Amino acid sequence: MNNVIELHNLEKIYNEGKENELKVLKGINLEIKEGEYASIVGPSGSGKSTLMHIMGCLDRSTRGKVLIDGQDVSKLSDEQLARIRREKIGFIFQQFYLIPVLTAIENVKIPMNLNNLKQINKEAKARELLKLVGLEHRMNNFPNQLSGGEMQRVAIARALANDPKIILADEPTGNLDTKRGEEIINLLEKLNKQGRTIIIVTHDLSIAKRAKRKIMIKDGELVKE
Amino acid sequence: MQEFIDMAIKNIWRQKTRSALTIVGIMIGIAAIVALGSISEGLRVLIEKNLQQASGMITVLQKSDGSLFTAIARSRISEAQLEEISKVSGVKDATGIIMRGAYLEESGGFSEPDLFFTGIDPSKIDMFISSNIRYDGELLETSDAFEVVLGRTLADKLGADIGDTVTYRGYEFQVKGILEKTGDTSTDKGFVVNIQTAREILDVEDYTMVIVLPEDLDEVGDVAKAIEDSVDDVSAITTEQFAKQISNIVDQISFFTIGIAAISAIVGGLGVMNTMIMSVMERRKEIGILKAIGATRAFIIKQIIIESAFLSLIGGLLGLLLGQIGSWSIGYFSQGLAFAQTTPGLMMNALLFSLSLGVVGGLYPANMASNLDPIEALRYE
Repeated sequence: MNNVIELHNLEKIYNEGKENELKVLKGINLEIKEGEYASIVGPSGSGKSTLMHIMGCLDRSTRGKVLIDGQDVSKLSDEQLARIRREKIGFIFQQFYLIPVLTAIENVKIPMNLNNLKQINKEAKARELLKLVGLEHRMNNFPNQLSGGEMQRVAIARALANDPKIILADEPTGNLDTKRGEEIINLLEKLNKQGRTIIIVTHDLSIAKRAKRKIMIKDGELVKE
Repeated sequence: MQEFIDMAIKNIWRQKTRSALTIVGIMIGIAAIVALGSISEGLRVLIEKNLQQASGMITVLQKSDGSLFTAIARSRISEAQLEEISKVSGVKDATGIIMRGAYLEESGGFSEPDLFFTGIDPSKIDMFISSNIRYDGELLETSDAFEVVLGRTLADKLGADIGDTVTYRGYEFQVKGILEKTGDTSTDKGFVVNIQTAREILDVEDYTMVIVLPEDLDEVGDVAKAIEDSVDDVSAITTEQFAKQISNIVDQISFFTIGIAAISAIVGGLGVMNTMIMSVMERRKEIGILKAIGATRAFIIKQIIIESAFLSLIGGLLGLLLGQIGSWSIGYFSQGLAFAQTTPGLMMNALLFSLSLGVVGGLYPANMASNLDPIEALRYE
């Protein structure tokens, strides 16, 4: 299987060379293969969020190489990074981050609108995705009419809209009760079985344990797997 | 594109009061442009109409440094000068006219006169009242002394009809004829009497102006120049020059009034900018989400500018409507003193102006939004 993410000697340093220099990531090497189900776990302040931001092309490394689906993204412009994000990566956030003025189905359509491919029937695809996450009956509801679990499922459908190679989930169950959290993890596992690469970033060990591969990070370094 | 517009409408609708106030800001500015612009357009139409009526004639006034209007008020032309003018080559006919502006009530002051007391040689009345002007009753004859021909506006104001008696400076005149409305103020407010009567009443010998009919209408300009060259202390103005002078004045008026209106519209544009900046600040998280899931800067800029332009364009359309009503009311309440006309060009320009205010006003907030760092924006609670 191909590596969808490769990190080579990744460093992230804030205020480098100044008095308040802060080394957040200290030389990380990591490969994630297509179809993997991995969790990145570590306490707060360990650098896991920064790591996720860099893997998700939201942030840049200070040093080292980042390959997404074989492409070196370290030198890309902001606009090129935006393109990588919308084509290759599906984000799932702790606070769901749906657009409040748009209905569930409209939220799912956003990434397709951003990609603007003419040959895709956006409406049909969005319906299909909402059906996949079990929300076919809530398509025209606004986020404030949905429960937390439902909102997160809309966010998952949105993450899948452009068929990304990688699903990056940042504390996806952090704002949900145990039962709803369980359902979300089950859904992500179902997507993994369909062949999608899933990376869950969490500080919750019980969730991290369920992943086939557990990556531990502490003080900016990978501890063990 | 459809998605952008849908999104823009939804976002505008989110803060109804704020959006409505912003729209009102633009609306007032655009309405002012349309209403004031329509007055200048109306004036222009009026001038063109007068030009057609009076074309071919030359008006000779005493030379003056002041504007056209003060020149008419102060002008004196002697009998001897009239003789000289008649002898200039190319002059077919010339007649002297006495004209005095007057007010029906004491309140007069600086406004336009209510009445133009005009003395003319009845045998040459067709040089003053051109043959294409229709009238009720009859025009003056040489034997008339206390008969008068009234302009329509004045007749209506006095409530006078053919055969009625009207008074000027204590003298009673019988109304012999009433001219149809021409759009030319000095005719519509004309109180036209035999020049002999005018001389006696006003106790003057000199004329106010001389009207000249050239032999060849195509050589009006040359004849006017010949008059100025051969007669001392006069200026000869053709209707074209006359119209040009007035049209210059109209240009200045419209530049000034539309300029003021445009300033108020620009203030409205600043309102749009302010609203959009606030809106971007409030939605920074949403913008961060869009950027995180792959929106480019261009996408964000387009979204914000469409929203801003839409807001401003609604204001522009409503302003157009309000301006049209304003223009109509000005015409109605001024009772013909100001003649307002909105042309398609004026409406188009006003609308384009509102659109460009929206686009320009949206540039800064759009740029601000597009530069938001998604990580920072998402962290912001």
